[in-house]
Amino acid sequence: MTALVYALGVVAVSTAIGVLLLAQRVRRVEGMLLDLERVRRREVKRRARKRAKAEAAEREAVRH
Amino acid sequence: MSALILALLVAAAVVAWALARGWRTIAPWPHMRPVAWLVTAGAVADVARMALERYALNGEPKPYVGLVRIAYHAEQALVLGWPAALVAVSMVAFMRRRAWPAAVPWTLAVVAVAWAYPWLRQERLGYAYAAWSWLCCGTVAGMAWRSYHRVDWGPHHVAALLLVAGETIAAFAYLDQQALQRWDGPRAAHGVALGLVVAYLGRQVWRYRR
Repeated sequence: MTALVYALGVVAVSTAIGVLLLAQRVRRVEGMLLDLERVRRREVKRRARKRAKAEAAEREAVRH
Repeated sequence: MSALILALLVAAAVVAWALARGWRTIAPWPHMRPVAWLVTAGAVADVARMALERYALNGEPKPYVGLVRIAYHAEQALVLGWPAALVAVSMVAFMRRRAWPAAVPWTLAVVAVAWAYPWLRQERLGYAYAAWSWLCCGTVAGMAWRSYHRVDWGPHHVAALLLVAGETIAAFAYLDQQALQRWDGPRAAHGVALGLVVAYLGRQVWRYRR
């Protein structure tokens, strides 16, 4: 009986460690997804800037 | 039961060294070395402790005197050494520092229990052992908590924490002299912790096998 209580105690603490590890992994994946989203937004902005520049150059060419 | 703990320590040492040296895995993991040294030293210390109990202390009149007392203090040093070794490994794993500063409080603790003998024995010694174990486990928990938001925990962190979990629960037996004499509770706690370490590290060996 005593041995079972001790064994269950270790299982409980180990489960808590597992939960902390899992939470850390989830946070890491979340961070990676946020990074990807940041890169995507930066790319969209960059393309928009490039397009605007190209359009401005085209307008300038038509005027001349 | 002691033989089972020893077998689990040896199994944990084998898988930890397999990962550290890259015996069956894609690449060696040098950061597993402290854990490998810890379980190897734990196995050697367990054998030494059993030998001291059987050949030097068994049936000797108490309180111990002379050479028997020296053997008893050596056995105490081994008992106090496991929590200190957990702190040493955690200092390397979580804080990326050297392990040797953990030897200073361990030496002080060994000197203190030797100096306080024979006043410090039976129940009082149990309380002292429990306080020491929880102090060491608390120190590891503090280091783990500090590193939690800075470092992504790997197998060496998890293995150290599982062993600390076993020690934290096993230390409750020091508060109850009857449980301490039967010794089945602490063995169950250490056995489950070591079993989990062997299973977890074994899974890593399988996952990153060549």
